Amino acid sequence: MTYEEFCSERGLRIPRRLLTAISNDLGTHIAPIIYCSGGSSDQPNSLAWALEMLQDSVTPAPPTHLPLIPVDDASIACAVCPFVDQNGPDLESLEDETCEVVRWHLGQIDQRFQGATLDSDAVEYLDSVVRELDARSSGLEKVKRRAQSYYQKFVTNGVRPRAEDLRPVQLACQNVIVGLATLCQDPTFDGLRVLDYLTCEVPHLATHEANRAMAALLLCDAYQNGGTMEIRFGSRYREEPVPPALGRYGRSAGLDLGVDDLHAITPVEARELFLTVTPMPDDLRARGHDLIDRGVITPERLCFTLMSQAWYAVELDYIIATSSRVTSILEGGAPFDLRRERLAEAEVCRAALMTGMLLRRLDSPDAASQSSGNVRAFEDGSIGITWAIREDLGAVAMTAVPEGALPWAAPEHDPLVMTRDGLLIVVPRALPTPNDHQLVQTLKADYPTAIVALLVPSDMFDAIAAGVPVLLCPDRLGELDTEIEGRLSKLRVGRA
Amino acid sequence: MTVESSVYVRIPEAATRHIVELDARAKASLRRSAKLPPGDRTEVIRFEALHAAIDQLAVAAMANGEPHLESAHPTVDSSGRLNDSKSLVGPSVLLPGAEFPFELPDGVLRWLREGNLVVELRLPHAPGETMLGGEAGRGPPKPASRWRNATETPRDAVRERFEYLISQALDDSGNEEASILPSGVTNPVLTEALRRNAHAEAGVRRIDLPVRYRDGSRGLEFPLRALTLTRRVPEHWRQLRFTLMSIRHVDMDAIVDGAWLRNARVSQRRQAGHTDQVAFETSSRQLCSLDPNIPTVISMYQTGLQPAIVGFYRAVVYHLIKYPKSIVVVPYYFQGGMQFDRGTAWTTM
Repeated sequence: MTYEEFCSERGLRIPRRLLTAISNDLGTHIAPIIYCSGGSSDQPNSLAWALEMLQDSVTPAPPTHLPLIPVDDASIACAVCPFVDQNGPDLESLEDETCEVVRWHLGQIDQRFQGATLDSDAVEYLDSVVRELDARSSGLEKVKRRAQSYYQKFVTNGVRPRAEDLRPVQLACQNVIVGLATLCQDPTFDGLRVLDYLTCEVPHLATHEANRAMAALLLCDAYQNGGTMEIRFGSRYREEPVPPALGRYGRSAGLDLGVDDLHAITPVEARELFLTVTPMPDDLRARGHDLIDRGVITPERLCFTLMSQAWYAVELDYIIATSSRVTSILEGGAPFDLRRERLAEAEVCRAALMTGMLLRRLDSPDAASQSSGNVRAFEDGSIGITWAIREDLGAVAMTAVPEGALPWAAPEHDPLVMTRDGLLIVVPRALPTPNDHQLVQTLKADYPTAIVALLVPSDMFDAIAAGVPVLLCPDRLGELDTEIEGRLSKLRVGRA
Repeated sequence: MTVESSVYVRIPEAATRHIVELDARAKASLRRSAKLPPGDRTEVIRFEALHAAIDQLAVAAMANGEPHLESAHPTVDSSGRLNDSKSLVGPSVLLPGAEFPFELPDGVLRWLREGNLVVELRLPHAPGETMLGGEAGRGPPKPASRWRNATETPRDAVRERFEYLISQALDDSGNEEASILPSGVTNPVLTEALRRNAHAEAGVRRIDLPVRYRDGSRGLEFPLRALTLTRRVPEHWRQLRFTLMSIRHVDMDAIVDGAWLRNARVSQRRQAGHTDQVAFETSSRQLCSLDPNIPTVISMYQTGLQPAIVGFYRAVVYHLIKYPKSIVVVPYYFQGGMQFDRGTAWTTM
């Protein structure tokens, strides 16, 4: 099977840039791994062999997918070729045509992750892979050497490194190392210098997750060090371009990195990248952008707050949706002697905290307790409950909550039981008033198929009117306040 | 969206005594807090726990059918901060017979006149539109500008960057963001740069710049271009040798007369601005305790904690403004072991 046969069989065309690149210099470098045109299906690394793999995969690939190279043992990078269009543009305008590269998983996988974009341009993709692989073995050696030096200098001597000291970092998921880097704050440009940057794709991790996590780590470090947020790569005396894998991730997310300076992510690019790598549900992203647009918070502070887990996403979403005091809370809270302001902030934080606890409790699949045979626990598993904040009411709607008895039932009361609808509406209040009791009853009437409940600290149960469904957070008010004090303290001194 | 409202709860007689006791303890906690160093949260946590108990009693009273009133909410200013000039400092317990510097609903005033105790709860969940603050379209501050140093070594780069930022702030001193940024700056670079900029050439206007730390906290303004400093160190003045902070390098104890700041008091986990304040207040007090009629040369052996250095030298500048030619401060910068580099003297001789 050749490229030409692949195209004519399916009515497709391969962008000319890609064909030219493969047949020229890039093709020579990528030859050991590319699925070559012309071989038979018995021949591993041939186009025909890869096409058979795609057809035999659990989810067969669409006909437009031209296999390029393996991503890992269980997925293939495919160029998405356009169909031939008889009335399409002339050949000249097709000279610069690009085509997207996606990752096709061969085994069973959640369809959300199937066909994720690896790169927006196939030629750039192949070029970046060649450069990445060329530098990998020497990069690994350097990281190893620098990690040993760090260990002797700091770990053995029990010395805490300063921001300016070179520090190795390692990212791992389920005991598989997916990223390595060495970094330090560099006063010569008041930004972060990254000497080594190595990541890889693995079957059990979403596409580009290693790059996203490593970029997040670099940006958080840069923010914490308080410089300009510029990130430069390579040593001071021999700078290197933005790592190919990071550039590839940027392109897949619609960001061009290293445009103004080949060797650096500029502060402007860093801001965009920070917003991209920080996971935010759509509602929270929209609310965050609204606050940024109003000049209430900076993008860096919003992202750092989430990435440092000072507040989890649902908690921050609740705070932004229901409080006018976002700036104050994110700066560590109002002065304690201004009790009224402090209480207004504390009450929002308590509600957010209880909501976060409940969501994490409901969203964790308790595989061990539900399994009758051998238990296999995944530490990062989740059921996939989503939430929406009713900002007009200070209530939280959770969807896809599994059927069955809800936790946190009131003592001597039957637990609330989720139905197949999976809609749970909670009204989190640490100091519930009769208005809140009334709100729960109103919501119950408005959403007859949903479970509606007041969510209160465990020591506030006596203040709830009879007949109001209630979920009791295991923490008492004082314990919530202790946790909030810790969170606010983290925001006050987190960058000290 | 939700808004804030004040819920005033009339407390039943049975709970009054308990709340009055809690209120008294909360106020005592506030008074003790004022005596603690800035940033010490011991009494803050106690105060909040006591007030949480008061709030819980008020909620319990409401649940038991005691009357309560709900009233209007504050708004936010353009910076996104709440514009609440009626802030009540201390516990939000309204005692009958007390005077209040703000308006209260008529119903609450009546309860108070009748001798009832009222607790105010500022709750954020009343129906209404949340005021987000700021101004649509204003956008965030621009990302920082890129900067490259003209020198080779990182140490020179730190100095160059710090000097550059100070000169920018001095040129742009009308801007509220213009400030001294000492975080991450090494001990000798920080001290020497502050000294150079504290010096005033003839006819130059003094500029007091705020100090801003990396954690977002702020220190008091530092007077720049405020003194005509020289390098002359008189030989026959009284000599006192200090380490800037105790415990840091106990080897030095043999060569100094004492430690200027107590490490246990300064090196605490809190906002850098608070540490700066502690260092400044302690240093001001100690400098004032020196007899201005006995001029003194202070040799300060210092290691690097930026808020302590900024706080100390701010106090030195103010002291020299008030008592010129009363002291000379000679910094010595720790270089490892027992090695110190002598810095430029702070003197108006």
